[in-house]
Amino acid sequence: MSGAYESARDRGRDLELDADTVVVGSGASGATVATILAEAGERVIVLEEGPRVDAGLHGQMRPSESLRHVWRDGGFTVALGLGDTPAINVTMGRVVGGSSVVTGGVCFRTPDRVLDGWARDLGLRDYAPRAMEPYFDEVERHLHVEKVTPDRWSKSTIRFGEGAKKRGYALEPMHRNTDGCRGHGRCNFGCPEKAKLSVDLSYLPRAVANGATVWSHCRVDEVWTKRGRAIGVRGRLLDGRDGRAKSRLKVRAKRVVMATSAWFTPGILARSGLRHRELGRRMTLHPGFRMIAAFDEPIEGWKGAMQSAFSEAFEKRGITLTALFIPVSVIGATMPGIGPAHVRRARRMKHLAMFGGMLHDEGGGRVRHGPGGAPIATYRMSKLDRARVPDIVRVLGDTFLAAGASEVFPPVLGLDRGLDADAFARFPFESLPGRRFECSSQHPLGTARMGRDRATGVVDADGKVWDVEGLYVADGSVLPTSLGVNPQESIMAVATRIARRMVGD
Amino acid sequence: MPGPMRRVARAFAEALFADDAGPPPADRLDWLMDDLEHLLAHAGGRARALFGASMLALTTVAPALSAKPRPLWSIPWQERVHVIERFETTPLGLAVLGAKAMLCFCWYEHPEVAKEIGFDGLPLDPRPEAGA
Repeated sequence: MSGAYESARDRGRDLELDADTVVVGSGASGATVATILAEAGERVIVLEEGPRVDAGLHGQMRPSESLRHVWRDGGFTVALGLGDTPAINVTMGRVVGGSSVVTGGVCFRTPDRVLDGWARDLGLRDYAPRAMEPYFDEVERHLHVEKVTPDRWSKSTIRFGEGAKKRGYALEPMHRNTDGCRGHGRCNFGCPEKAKLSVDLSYLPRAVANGATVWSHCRVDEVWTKRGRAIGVRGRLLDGRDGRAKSRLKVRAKRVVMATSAWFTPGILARSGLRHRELGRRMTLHPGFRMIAAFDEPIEGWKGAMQSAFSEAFEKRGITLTALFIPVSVIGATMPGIGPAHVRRARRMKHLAMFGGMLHDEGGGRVRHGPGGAPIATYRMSKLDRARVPDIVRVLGDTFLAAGASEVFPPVLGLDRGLDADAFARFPFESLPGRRFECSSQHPLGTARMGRDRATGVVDADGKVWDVEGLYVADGSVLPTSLGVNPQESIMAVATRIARRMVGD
Repeated sequence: MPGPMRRVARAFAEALFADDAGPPPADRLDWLMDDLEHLLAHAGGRARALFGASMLALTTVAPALSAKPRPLWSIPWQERVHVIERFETTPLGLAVLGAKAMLCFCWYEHPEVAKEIGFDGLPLDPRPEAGA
């Protein structure tokens, strides 16, 4: 039995559907759950707010066109910084395949130290490292997780690695879900070669082959409940002018699985009448910072795997370093100055290298549903995390300067120049207000955390919402703590476990 | 994009992307404005609101930093560069960054501009085209 991909974009009339399970969201977690349930013989419907973009089209889109058609809010989603916290640009996909289409493809297993903490401190014993192994194995098999060998590293990464060696630490090869990568360096704007096996390529086709139907342009507003049981979802089709909401959507199902990310799931659950003191709270983001460095020789940092190496040498200081390169048009936007001073710097693009780092944060984020249902997110860094911001900037800059960079461009908003080694050493990062730091995140997690009981979690260890029969959460919002590593594989492994429990495996 | 906003955005872009020889050619700025309009139309309400706020700040506050206050587009480009640079150092200056980012996202993708900054778009492992 084969399913289908359907679009509600031009439907122009209400849509009512029936299924065994409706999965809300088609990203890493939703695609995983939908595939496992469809393969087990369930009638599955997947609802996605964004469009379906054929993977072959990514290479034809300029990065800014990808922002327009594939990214949420054109890439301008922000968590407002409270207190001395920077505003954090949180990037997400809004497309069939979700954020897996706009990640660098990085795959880490959840570190054992994190899983041990969940099992020991939170009572989530089924998540101990050994118990999770089969789920990681399954995800890695389907995603084709492979090591990025150094011959795929860009010169940008190689130069940073040279600096790291001089500073007494080493880079390790990253693992990614790729097959046939040629190093276009633009994974997060959709791979032009279909080499990044995002879930629109690796999972959803299997779900559809087993009877699932994936509907795009469908926005779910609430879970439909009756007498303490989920009986479906209600929302709108985005079939109006310019993709605005118009016709009504109603899906009846025996089971509802929320997979809309830690950014959206709390709002939809709250609108559906769910009340829980943990809902929308404790969001972790892995706040990230980048460093750009100028070298005398050409670097051409776009040539190579975008995220090819990492270092956990600073894990005890809560810092993970990861290779990174962003499109030249976005780098251009970070070049200081106006007019000739700005243009002169941009014309050195070939000479620029980049590396990033993220904080293994303690949380402090909160998502509320704002006017019109759009989430409003705030984030207040803990004192410890805030103190680590200048630390991460110093580690990145110092490493590049050790590698021979002539100057570095730190992630400081409004900085009107690059900094050479002396200027970098003297620059008062430690006394800068938080709002001056340029900060981004791709990893919102933890807003509907799982717990061993009603008091500590919105859902139980199997993703089931306490007290609402038939309602599950399977996305990153169930992860109860920050991971310190990119979460795609963790999200998929947890979703795999939740789905396997649903079908009784 | 409303006419007045487009006018301010163009005046800002003209100064932002001016090199030692002067502002960029008019046809590139035309392309930029059309592409920016398309970006804003598709990027969602948040991006439009951010850009609108930046343009408002540039319209109302930045000209006051000129020796002879007048609309941004009436200020000669060299002076406009200095006015915007000065504006960037004020507490409101961060508002300019959103607009600068959106303009740069489009501008540096113009094929000629990409060439000028040395971007060839090739991957690490270029394979010969089929049949070459």
